[in-house]
Amino acid sequence: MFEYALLIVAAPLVAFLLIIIFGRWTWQGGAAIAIAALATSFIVSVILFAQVLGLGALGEPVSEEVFQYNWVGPVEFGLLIDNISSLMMVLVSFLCLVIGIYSLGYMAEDKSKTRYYAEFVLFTAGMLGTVSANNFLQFLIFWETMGLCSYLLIGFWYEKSEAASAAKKAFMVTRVGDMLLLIGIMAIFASLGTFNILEIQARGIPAGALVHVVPLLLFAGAVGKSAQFPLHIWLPDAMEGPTTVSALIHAATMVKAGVFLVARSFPLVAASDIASITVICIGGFTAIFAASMALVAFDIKRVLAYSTISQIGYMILGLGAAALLFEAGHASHGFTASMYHLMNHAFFKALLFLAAGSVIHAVGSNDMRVMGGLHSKMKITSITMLFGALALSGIPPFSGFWSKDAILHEVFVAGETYGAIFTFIWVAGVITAFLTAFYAFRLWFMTFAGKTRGDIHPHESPRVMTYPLIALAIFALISGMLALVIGGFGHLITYGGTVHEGTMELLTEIFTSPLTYITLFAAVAGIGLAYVVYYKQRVSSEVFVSTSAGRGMQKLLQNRYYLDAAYRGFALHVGTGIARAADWFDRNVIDGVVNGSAKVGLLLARGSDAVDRKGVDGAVDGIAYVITGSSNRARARQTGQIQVYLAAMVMGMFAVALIMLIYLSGGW
Amino acid sequence: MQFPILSLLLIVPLIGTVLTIAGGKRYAKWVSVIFALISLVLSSILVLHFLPDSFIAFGYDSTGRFFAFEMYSWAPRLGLNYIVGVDGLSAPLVFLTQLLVLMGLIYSWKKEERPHQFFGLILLIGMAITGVFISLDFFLFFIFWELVLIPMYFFIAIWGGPNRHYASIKFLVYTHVGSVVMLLGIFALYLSSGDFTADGARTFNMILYLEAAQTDPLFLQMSLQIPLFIAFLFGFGVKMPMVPFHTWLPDAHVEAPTAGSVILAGLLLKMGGYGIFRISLGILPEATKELWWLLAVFGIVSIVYAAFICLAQTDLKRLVAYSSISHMGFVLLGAATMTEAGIAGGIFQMFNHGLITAVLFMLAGSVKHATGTREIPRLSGLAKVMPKFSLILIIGFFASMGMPGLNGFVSEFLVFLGTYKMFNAIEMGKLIIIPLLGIIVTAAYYLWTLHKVTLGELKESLKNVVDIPRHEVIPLAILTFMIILFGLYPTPVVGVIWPHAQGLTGLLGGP
Repeated sequence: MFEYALLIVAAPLVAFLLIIIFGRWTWQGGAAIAIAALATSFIVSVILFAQVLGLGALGEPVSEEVFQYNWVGPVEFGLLIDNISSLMMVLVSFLCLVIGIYSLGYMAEDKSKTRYYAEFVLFTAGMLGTVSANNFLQFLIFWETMGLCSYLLIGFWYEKSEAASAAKKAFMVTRVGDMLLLIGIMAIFASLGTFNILEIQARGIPAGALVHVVPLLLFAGAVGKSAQFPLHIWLPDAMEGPTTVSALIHAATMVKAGVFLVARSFPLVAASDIASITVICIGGFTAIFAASMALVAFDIKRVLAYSTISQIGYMILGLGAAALLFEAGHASHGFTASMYHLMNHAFFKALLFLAAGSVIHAVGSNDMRVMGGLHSKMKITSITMLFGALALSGIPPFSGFWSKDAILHEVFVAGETYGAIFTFIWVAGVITAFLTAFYAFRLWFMTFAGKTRGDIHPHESPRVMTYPLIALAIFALISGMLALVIGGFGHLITYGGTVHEGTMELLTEIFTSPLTYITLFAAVAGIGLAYVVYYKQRVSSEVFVSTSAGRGMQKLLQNRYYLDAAYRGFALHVGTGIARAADWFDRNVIDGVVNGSAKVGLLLARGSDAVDRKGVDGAVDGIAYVITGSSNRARARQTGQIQVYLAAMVMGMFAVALIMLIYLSGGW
Repeated sequence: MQFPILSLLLIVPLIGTVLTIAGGKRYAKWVSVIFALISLVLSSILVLHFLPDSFIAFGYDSTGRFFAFEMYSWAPRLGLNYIVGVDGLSAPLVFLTQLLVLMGLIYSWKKEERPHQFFGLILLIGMAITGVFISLDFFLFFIFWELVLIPMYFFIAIWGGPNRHYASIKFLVYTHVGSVVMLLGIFALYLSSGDFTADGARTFNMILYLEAAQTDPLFLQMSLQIPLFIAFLFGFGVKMPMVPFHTWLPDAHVEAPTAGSVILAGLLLKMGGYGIFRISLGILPEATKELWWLLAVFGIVSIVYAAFICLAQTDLKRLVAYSSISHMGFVLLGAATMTEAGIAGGIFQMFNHGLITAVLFMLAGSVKHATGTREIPRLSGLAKVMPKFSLILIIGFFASMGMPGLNGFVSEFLVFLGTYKMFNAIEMGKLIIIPLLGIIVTAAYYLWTLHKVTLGELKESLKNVVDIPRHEVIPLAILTFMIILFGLYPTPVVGVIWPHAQGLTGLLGGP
């Protein structure tokens, strides 16, 4: 009954083919084809989502596989349609459509538009395929397709050396996670004999060490793709691509795929306490770790990149907390909260990136130090970005508030169950909320408030860019509340069938809990600090930096905790070192033995030749003298012509064959 | 009598060789291409046989295992016959051979130096390699095996680069040493064959050995199987080549003309892999069960070691040559797993590697024609002036590094699947990380090369470079199309291979 869902993935794939074949002759280098395909995907996804919701009682996942296809041996391809995948498809196709429309303005002057739109739709197809895969092999194929597209898109302006390097880095770092994911998938197949996700979820990994190892390996794939610590280093550099690509990677595709992977393998994670605790720790640590680096960045996109890493950390944290509670037999809303945050973040992060793109488009620079005072020149961009910053900071009623609060609430509950360490992570989460609000408004104030610092002549972007901003700003405001209207996001996505409240109960629960006010206070404090430092400028950030501790901290953060340098050093010195050593070994030792034995053979040949000449030949010298004529003739045959050599060798071979035959048969 | 399609696959290129050389420079390319095309059509007919409900049927041998079977008595007193036939192992390789020969000819369209001999020799090599894959008589097998060397030697020695004499002699002597050791193995098999044949007569008939192994894996006692296994492994290992018997290959490739490299890496190396599956696994199953770890170690070392060496190369062709060694390691590893997935993956890897490496060597040749150098650090930003080249290079590299959706992934994934199962069986599942490390290093050297060659700023000296000419685009486009096709839809090829893998797994009894 969901056969038509295939169209969602197929439309961008077909568009990809059409664009690479005909794109250059069509309007805007294939933009029309791309937008038509994305619109098709979006409309069909909405229909699908409506049907899925209409089918099941709210909150009950409906799963169905459609379209089976025999690949290699026992693998069957298909689509897995349930609440999560159908919601993801709506999100992805909508955001890709909006970003695609925005691209019409943003990429209008680029010469390689055809290539851009082709890679864009393939990227979309990769994400749509990933979220709808019914088996892990198919999942991996689309997952890697996204990896390829991210490589191509981050390196879109390949003439720039930084872009080419960033593309390489993104692919290599995610590749490390992908390899571990591949092992995880193989381990699943080895123990269960299937790649089918539903079957794997239902059966679980049989007891043994694999129960812990498999979810950890799958999680490693998510860590790479979602840019979590310690594989986060590619995402800030990925800014070298066009801003629309950043929006695509951060909001709708790629980094969300990692969170989706954890959600898809949730029953496996929830079966292992070790895996759950690892997920919580990585998520919680990444959230605060990335937020701290956002504090000192001056590149407007880089701030947003760190913010993505940090926010994804929240989602991972929520999933981990839920998994741990489930493992211990408690109910949890963490799964719901994480998916909720994923959706909200998708809207406001797309908004923030596209608004930043609008600024960059106008200013011609990424550096916030040359900006300032842009509010009067570009009001729509400024206000929409303010919406984004409020949503990111978690100020009600903007979307980020609802889901972030829900996640921190779950972590706190896990802390009540498990003790100090989770309370500690909860505190880190609250501090992150403070940092988030601070850097979000640092960004906004530095860009839009005060006086223009650089020599720039900004202007508002064309409507094709501002309308998408407005649309996204509306969603950044209401996407959180939409879920409230239907009585909580748990009615859309849940795991394990936990209880749902109605709208009023939910609101009462949120606003009577002291936790809510703690988080809210942290966020408001962050905004207040940013206001004082970057708007009123009562306190200069220089004061902090002038202390030796402050300077050291700034240096540490600006150098990204020296992790990039460490990885780089490792790759350069250890990787290349092994390569050089192996190369030397190959040329000198292995090949040395080969050439050496050849030389020994040659020496032996010369020796016997000498013996032959001086001894044996000396005796027959007289006779040889007589037949000098014939030896001259023999020499004449060595003319260097291949026909002669060829004939001689073939004849020689047959002679050897003949002798062998006679020898073997014991004489004819 | 049935249509002697396999004999024709030997006769047609042989006539083609004679006519091409005799026809002189003017007609050489046309004559050779026509004959290669006929061979390709013949081999396509052969492959079509595998389609379900195929309307094409061929005669089978008595076991029903080999089809398109032909057997003529040659020297009966010696147990020597002319026997040819193909099965799921050899059919894809026979097709690949005809395909790459034709592509190599088209790629070399503009060859000006002794073109008639050049084209004639390509046909001759193709014929000899086909002979290796279809021979089911050890003697015939060995004749073809050796016959491959001679034209290849001349190929490198005449049309090769500056260091061609060293490289060609090294190639000839090194691989010949391997052949001699293998020949000893064949003799030993022959001399002991009287013990198991029905009439007690000695025989070179490979099918009798395969059958004997099927009925009784210990038809040769272990004290004989083990040394035989090692002798054959050395013979095949030099050819594949496996580390540490590989050093002839980079030199041969660097010096060989492009078409020579295509055939060398695309087809000649597959002879070694073919021998492993046909003879080591098929005839010596008990020794394989005993010494599978040897194959696994050689395979893994080849994968990882050669990948690291790639990282240190600056000559594009040398890099592709070492990557060939690395990727042929998967064939060995697949064979070592003794599982369906692993063996099928190993066989499929030979087919895929043939397609991919042909593309990569052609590209290395093209970049040399276009810019005058293959030194990676001297190239930069070619995407700007050579878009076709860059696009195919990206596809080829990603296929080679195992990107899902391209053919290399399918076979490498199957090999890993088998390997994991095998490692798990000996409770060392974690070891899978070692060959997987090779994959990461592979991605590193290809990305580094892509970065240097196609991306970045275009160098002043490369401003006037023109993209690859049409006669080079045609074979590249055809091969790239097949790389994508078999990546998305590997089912037909895997379907051909799988029954053979099943048979071998049954024989070996799994890990």
